[in-house]
Amino acid sequence: MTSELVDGMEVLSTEECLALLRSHSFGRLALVVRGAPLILPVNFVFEEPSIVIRTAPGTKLEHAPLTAVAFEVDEASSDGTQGWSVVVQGPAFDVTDAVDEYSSALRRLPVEVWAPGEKAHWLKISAVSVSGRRFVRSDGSGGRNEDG
Amino acid sequence: MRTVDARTGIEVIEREECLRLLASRRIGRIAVVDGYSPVIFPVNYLIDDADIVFRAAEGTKLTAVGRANACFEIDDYDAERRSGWSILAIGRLEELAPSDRAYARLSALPVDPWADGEHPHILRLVGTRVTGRRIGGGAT
Repeated sequence: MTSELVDGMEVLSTEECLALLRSHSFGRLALVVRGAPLILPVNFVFEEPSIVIRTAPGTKLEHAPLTAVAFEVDEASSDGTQGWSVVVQGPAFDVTDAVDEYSSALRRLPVEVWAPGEKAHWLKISAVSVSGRRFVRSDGSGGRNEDG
Repeated sequence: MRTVDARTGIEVIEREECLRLLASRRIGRIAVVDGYSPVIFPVNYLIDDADIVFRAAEGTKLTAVGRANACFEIDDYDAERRSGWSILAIGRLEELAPSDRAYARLSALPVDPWADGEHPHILRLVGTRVTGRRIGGGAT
């Protein structure tokens, strides 16, 4: 699978992005709250084309459903020589009580929850656009980076 | 002594510890609003005079939004231990002019892989409110 080189970074193919989403379970939800951006780290499961997360009542449940959100996953090696990021854009939906078969299936996914408390609500983000980048530097000049 | 948020049961990180954690890392994510949609980017950042500063490549949304509201986030979560922490810094973006005292110093940094390109913009997060949360217990 070839990817193009743009501005010194490698643009990932859609298939590479989807593979990264399938193989990871921790990311960051970006949403808009009263006109201002907010980033919240969450556990997720990706079942194309949906990113599925669980939540208790609170900011995510109050402000994400029926709005446009972004979702980001990234990793960087500790020596700063390699890294990648994938960003998804799409609408979010509260599928906690949805009766269709697809939503029922989403609610059976093994979405972990690390934060305390009951996470009875299920949100899905429909991945309308998916993009990703990767960098590999041989000289380590990316600096000391920590894993995301 | 730990402070726990009564609603969520999540441990709150005190401001000083938030600032220490911010100073100890190099990669974070910045989000801004583009129309009605949030956009999020990973960035390499530095703390300069207690401000979060980072580069944005020419032509990205970050350079187009002007003095916009922004949210900056760093985290460190351990999947095996199901624990970790995250810090949020909420403020407004400000672009450093070439005449700015810090511009020369920040421009001389080693190449930033997330903002490659010949004409990087240096942005600073100002008017910042910093908060942090920790889950899974255990002191770090």
